[in-house]
Order: sequence, then C-alpha cells, then structure tokens
Amino acid sequence: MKRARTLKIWISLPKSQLADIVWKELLDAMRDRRTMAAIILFPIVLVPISLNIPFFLISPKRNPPSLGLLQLDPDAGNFTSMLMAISDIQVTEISAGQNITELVSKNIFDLVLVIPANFTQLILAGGQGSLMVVYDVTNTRSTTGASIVDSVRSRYSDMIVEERLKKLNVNPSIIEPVDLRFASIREVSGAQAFAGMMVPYFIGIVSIISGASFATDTTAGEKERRTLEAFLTMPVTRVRIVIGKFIGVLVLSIISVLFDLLGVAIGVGFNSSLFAEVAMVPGATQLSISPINLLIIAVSALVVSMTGDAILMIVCIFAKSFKEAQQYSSVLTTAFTIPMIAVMFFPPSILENLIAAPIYGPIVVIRNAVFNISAPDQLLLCLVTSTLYLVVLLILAIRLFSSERILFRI
Amino acid sequence: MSSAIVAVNLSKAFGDFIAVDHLNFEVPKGVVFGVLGPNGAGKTTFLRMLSTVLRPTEGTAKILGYDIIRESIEVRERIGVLPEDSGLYDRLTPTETLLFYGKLHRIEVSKLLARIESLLSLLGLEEKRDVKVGTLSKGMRQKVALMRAILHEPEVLFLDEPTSGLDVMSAREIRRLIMDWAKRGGTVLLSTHNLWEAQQLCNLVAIMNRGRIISIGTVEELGHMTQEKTLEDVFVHLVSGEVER
Repeated sequence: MKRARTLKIWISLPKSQLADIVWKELLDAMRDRRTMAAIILFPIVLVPISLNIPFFLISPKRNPPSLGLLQLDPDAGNFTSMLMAISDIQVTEISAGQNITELVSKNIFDLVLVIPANFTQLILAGGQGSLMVVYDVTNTRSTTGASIVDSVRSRYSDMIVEERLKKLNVNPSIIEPVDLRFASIREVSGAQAFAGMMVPYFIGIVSIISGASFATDTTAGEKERRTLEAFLTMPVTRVRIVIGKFIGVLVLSIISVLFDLLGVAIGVGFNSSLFAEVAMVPGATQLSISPINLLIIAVSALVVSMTGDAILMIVCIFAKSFKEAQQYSSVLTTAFTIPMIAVMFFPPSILENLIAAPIYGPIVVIRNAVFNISAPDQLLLCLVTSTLYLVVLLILAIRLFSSERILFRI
Repeated sequence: MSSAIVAVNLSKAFGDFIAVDHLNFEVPKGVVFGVLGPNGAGKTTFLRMLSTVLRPTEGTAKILGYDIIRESIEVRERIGVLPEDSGLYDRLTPTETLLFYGKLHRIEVSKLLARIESLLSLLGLEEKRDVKVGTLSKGMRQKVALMRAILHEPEVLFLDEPTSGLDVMSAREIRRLIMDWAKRGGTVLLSTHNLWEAQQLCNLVAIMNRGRIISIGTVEELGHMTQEKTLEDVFVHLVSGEVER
C-alpha cells in the first residue's frame, strides 16, 4: 500500500527531471533506517532528553544534595533550623563516631557538615564559631550543597553581626559601606536566558548532523554502490544531478530541523522553570518568543542547513569511498559543533562580527531571536552573505562532480 | 548503410597510462558489434567514453551523427547502457526504478507505464514489480538493468558483460533479447569475455589488447585471416601474437 502511494506521487510529479531526481533521493532516504533515525529520532528524542536530564541533575530544587549533619552542639538549634528550612538541600542528622570521609567517598551523603561542640559557646563569647564541611569536588551535587551551606552560614553570620552591633548601638551599615544595585538593560526571564544559550546550539548541531548521513549516502554511497555510472548515462546535466541531490539532502534537513524545533519546544516547554533555576536569572520562568522571532529562528535554521549540507556534499563528492566520506563528515560536524559551543559564551561584540560568517552567522541570529532582540540589518547581512556562500559552495560541488578524477578517482 | 558509431583517434589516458589508444572504426546500424579482449584491454574505458561517462583525452566519436563530447545529452537520449555492474538502487522497486529512468528520458507517463508493464511481462518479472531491487537475485537484477537500458527504445545499446555471473536460463533469456533487439534494427555494442556468446551474437567483432584494436571483422573473416576455426582460437592467436610482439 505504502509503495503504491509513493508510486502515485511519483507519477503525479510535474514533468521535471529535477523533481524526479529529488523524489528518487527522498524515496531512497526514507527507506534507509539509518538516515531516518538521524533525521527524526535524534531531534525528537535526544534533544529533549539532553536539554532536561543534565539540568535536572544539577538543579538543587529537583535533585537536592543530601547533607549528613553531625550536630555536636545541642545549642546550635538556630543555625540547624535555618539549614533545615531550605528546600534545596536534604538534611539527615548523623551520630558521632562515624568515618565522615567515608560517608562522602562512598556516596552515602553528598556532603557532611560538622557543628563542633563549642560552636555556640564561642559565638556567644563574642568569638568565631567554626563549621566544617566535608565534600567531594568531583561531585556536582556535593559542590552545590557546599554553596548552599555557605549561603546559610553567611546569612546566620550576618544575623549575629547585626545583633552584636545592636548591642553596641552601632548602625549595621557601618560594616557594609558600599551597596551595589543591578539594572539590566533587557527584560529577560530565566528560562529565556537559558534558552538563548542552548537553543542555537541544539538547532545548529541538528541542522549540520541531520544532512550528514544522507549527503554521504547520496554521493559517496552512489560511487561505492556503482549506481552513479548508469545515472550519468541519462540525458541529464551534471548541474541538475548535483542540484537535485542537494535539494534532496536539504528537504531531509528541513524535516529534521522541524522535528528539532519540536524537540526543543518539548524540551524547554516540558519544564521551563527548571531552566530558570539553572540560569539563575531572577524573573519569570515562562519562555516567550514573538511569532516574528520564531519565523526568524526557522529561516535561520534553514540557512544553517543549506550551508552545512552544501559543505558536506562537497567533502562527500570528494571522498573516494563511503567510509572516507563518513570520516570526513564526522570530522567536519565536530569541527562545526565545537565553535558552536563557544558561540554561546562569546560577548556581543564578537557575536556581531560573526554575523557574516558561514554557519555561525545564522546561529547568532537564532540566539538574538530567542532573546527577542533581532535586528533587521543583521538579519539581512546574514541572509545575503549566506546566499553568496551557498552559490560558491554549489559551484564548487558541481565542479567536483564534473571532474572525472574526483568522481572516478582515476 | 549509414554508421551508428564512428570513432576517430579515440584515446583515453589516465596520467601516463594509456587505457585506449587511437581507436578508429565504424559500426554500421543494425549490427551486433562485439568488443573482445583480455582483462585490462581497455574495453570498459572505451564503452564509458562512448556512453559519455568519460571524456576522451584525444580524438572523438559520433553516435548516430552526434559528437560524444559536444552533444553528450543528444547522445544519451539515443543510447541505452548496461554497465558492468547493474548499478541499481537497492531500496527502489523495479517499477520505481524504471519509472525514474523513464521520466529522466522524458517519456510521457502513460506511455511509460505501458512500456514498463510490457517489459516486466517480457522478462517475467511481473510478480517482482513491487519488491525492493536489493532483495532480487543477480539474474533478476540484471534483467531490471537491461529493462532500464532498453526502456526508451534506444537506437544503440552498449552492453558490458551482460550475462556475466548469470545462471544458464537467465543468460539465455538475455541473449535472446539481444538477438531480438538486433533483428528489429537496433545496434548493439557488446563487450564480453564469453567468446562462445560473441560467436553466437555478433555480426562484427573487434579484438582489443593494450588499448588498441588489433583486429576487426566478421567472425568468418577473422577465422580466415588467422586460419583458426573457432572465435576462441582466433582470440588466442591474435592476443598471444600481440603479446609475443
């Protein structure tokens, strides 16, 4: 039934060799499980998982660190009450005589806090009470827990200082003569701040990776399976063959990017407050992107795919074998994705200069669209330069495809 | 009788290696022209040049009056090619395969569908029409590749080892089809190692060695020239003589 339907579509296609080549490429790809897994499964399954699991694990609200409390001072109730009131940490009292280091190294607790017997006594005497935290620097929950304990200590310490100063009739501001106020130039919610970092990366990486599998198959794969020779005896120009193959790869990439956007929407929408916590930016936890910016994100993703697919096709046409093409494309996708991570951390002054760069320009545009700060001139520059790159890359692909030495490796 | 194929100084070099060395010959229309030669004689390169897949480094050839370099699209419209490897897409069905190539030849769809039906029936593949090509036997794949070559009713057919590796029944069926094709006025250029097959099918035979045609004529003419009875003996006589030289 399925094949009868695909045949009907083919029969009804307009009289165009290009349309026939594209449809053949798509049909061939749709029946290849490896390609379909890269196009659909990766974005729709792995993207939401990758967006949620690591942040779920490091979010103290969702996954609070476990603290073993060795309370040797029965009078330190005020401090322990403050600690236990915090929902970001799970406190369990432990008895004396246990090996504290072992409790942490054997992961029974993420960290252990020791309140010594003379803690309150020293404070009441006007001195300094010492606490000790035993933690594991290689355990993220342990370091997060240590920070939480430190913040409680700091608040408790401030309270004591305030009381001491009151007794001395001294204004508490005397010990903090300088105040600092923050005024952000943009209204960005926590979820948005997070999405601005992660969404461009996930869209960029899927746009590049999704085309790789099929670009390899349709070029080097054709050479290796020896299907190319019969194709070249058809009354079709090589320009049309390359463009047809490119459109086929591009259509698959677009499908993949659509699934990717859905995957990102599921991943971010699943629990946007989680990202607000991780981003540690105060404000709303809702992610809100205007329709025009959503359109800009979609167009930019398409531009990343076009440039990425054209580059991948060039290296895959150049490759002697399918294996060689796979090696080239995996090196290339890694080479593209590593700077993509860096892009998330670049200051705006560098990002502005990247607008005209291939692949990275549209990534920066996506970042700005997520923050709702798109600028029309930047978008135009990105589109114009990306179109120029695409033309040059396609000319190069056609030239390589027309070269006997490259095509037949003779 | 006008010529289907005319080659003038047709040559192909890959760096310092000369694969095809100044071939000059004519193949009249309606003839089965056999190209014989040991491995590495240059047969496949020669066929690839005539089918416009490779570009000659020197000289040229005309197929039905069209130059293989300057008028490659016109040439491709008029030829059917069965390469050494069937070159079929494993994930497409025979019907889809033929539909794809037929549409590339710009055959009108209703005519194309009727033609596909008649070819599937002619070669006994009706039941396999919707099965993926990758699951077919080698003989069936070769039949699909042959259907692809004759789908648009070309005037000239290039067949590179069409029966190689096939069982007796499939090879016989393909030979029958080639003979029928020639009887209806088609020109066939057949490259083969099977000398018995060449003797059965070919009106004209060219023996190639080291990129050159060392002898050309009918089987009878070559036998008379070498005083040998069978084509196999003629072949051994000519090629070993060439080797000795």
